[in-house]
Amino acid sequence: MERTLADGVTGNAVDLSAALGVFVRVFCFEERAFLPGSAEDFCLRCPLACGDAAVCDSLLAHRFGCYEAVRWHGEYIYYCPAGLIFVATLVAQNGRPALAFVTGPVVMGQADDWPEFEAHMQEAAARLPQRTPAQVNAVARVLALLAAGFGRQAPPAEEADSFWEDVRGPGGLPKGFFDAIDVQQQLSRMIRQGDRGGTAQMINQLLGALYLGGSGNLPKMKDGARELLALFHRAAKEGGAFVDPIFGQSSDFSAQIAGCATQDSLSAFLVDMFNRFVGYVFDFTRFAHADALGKAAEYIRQNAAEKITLAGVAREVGFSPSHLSAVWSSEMRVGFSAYVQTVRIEKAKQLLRKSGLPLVQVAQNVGFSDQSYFTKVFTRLCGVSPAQYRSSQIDQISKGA
Amino acid sequence: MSTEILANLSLAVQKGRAKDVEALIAQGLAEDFTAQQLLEDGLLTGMNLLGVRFKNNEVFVPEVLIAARALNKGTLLLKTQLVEEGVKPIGTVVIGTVQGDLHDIGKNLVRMMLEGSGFQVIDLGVDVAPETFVEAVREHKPQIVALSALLTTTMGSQRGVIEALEGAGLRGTVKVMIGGAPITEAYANEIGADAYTADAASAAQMAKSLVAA
Repeated sequence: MERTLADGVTGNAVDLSAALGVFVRVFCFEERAFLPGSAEDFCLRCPLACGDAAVCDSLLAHRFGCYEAVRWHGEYIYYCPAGLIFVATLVAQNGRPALAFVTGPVVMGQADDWPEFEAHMQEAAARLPQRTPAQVNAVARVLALLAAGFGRQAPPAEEADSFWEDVRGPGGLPKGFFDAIDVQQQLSRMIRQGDRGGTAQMINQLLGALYLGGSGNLPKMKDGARELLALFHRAAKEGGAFVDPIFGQSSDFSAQIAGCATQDSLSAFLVDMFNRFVGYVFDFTRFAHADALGKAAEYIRQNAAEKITLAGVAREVGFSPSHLSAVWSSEMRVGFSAYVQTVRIEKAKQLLRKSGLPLVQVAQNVGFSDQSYFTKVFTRLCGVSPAQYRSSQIDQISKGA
Repeated sequence: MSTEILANLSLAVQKGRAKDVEALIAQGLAEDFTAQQLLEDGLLTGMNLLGVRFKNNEVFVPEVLIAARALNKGTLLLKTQLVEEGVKPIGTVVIGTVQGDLHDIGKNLVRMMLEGSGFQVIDLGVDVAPETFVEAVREHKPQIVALSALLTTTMGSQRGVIEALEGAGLRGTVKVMIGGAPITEAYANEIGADAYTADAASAAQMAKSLVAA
């Protein structure tokens, strides 16, 4: 990566921070870190303020966002584990991910959109910049335009290099070297067991074989690279990992390998692939979950008046219903149906306080087709009936006046 | 004379940026750094840091190779000055895969990490006969002989080399390191080798401690 690109993008990030009123930092894919000099740490604004990297590894959370931007055509809006919203925008160079703008944190919605047990989000909404979904999308689009401009900068010329011939031995890998079934089984077992270290070591052993054991020229290296990635694709699937974010459609990486004009670009491609592999298989899971749950909760808040099913929400966040159900019950403090009911009752309380709508209308506006069922749920959760709640609020207001 | 150049040189090696390495060395020499400073506190420091990350599986093989290329470019540029300053490699290692064994992946990686640690390395290649190791030890007078074997059927040849060195009266002049997939610490002790390491980065560290001892 040319240093001028990083300098230019970082300079723009500073201007963007001032213009947008939110932090804009620059993530570097090669260094797997934020570049210095763009903006202070996002976590300084975190409402959880736990200060515990083990609870919420900010860098990994945003690495996940940046890799998702690669996957989703250059931009990705996501929730961090604290429930705040960020936008990652890819700056590609030479057709490959180089940098990304990471913008945030913002909050979508008003303080009283969140149920009481999410008090930290009520506080965050009061303290942090609030944006509507349309505004967040607009920010993402503007940054994408800017990023596309950077991407048009001429890439550095690629040179073929005899160095790669020198590192090789006389042997040459036999065809089908990476098809060994025992290697695949060992890998899939490690993936299933969450053995990150063992898997990374295996990646290096096999890359060592590809680079130092092959006698081949670039086309032979490409054949080996294809076999190697296919091996990891199979092993990850067998090990129960969700491989779409890494490999896309199975033929995708084949086309990308074909596009590598030099050993250097092939190497950069492989390093990027294996970083993504380790990231998605081992590191990103809890951030992918936090993001999906944030989006699910957001969807429920926005659509409280409609019919809400687990299957419908799962579709919205790109999970299967059973996956969402499992993730929800392991990571949320209340069950799915209880969450939906709580959000609906919170909205009903707002309507009862702020509007003169008849109770039947209030019930319908928050997704209850049956008023008596609404009254029953409301009374169970709030200790008073909707009518009692409304009159007590009116009493309070008149007392206050 | 700012030490920032040395830090930048170390970073440029770690990122494998050969062009940056060349520019920084030219700048460093112009600012009156010695070639030894640029080599040891810049290039080799960078390679060592990367070696540690490699050992922890935080970086991948192509990144190490690209860093090694940048390191090589840098040391080539410094070669004349290093000779003028009388700087010598920290030691010499004769390395090879033993007789009957054609595997060179591990051996090549160890060679690269040794070079990255400041050793001069004489690589005898694969399928190397014991007498060839003996001749090389006579000729190059290394501190260390490193023997690689990937097969259970060829690991016995490592013992053969040690016996040949004993027969030639050279065993006392060199330390013998062995490595390879089937090798264990216990086997190293059994055949009378001085050290065994499990991976390339550890091998380079071990070699450094052997010449320092």
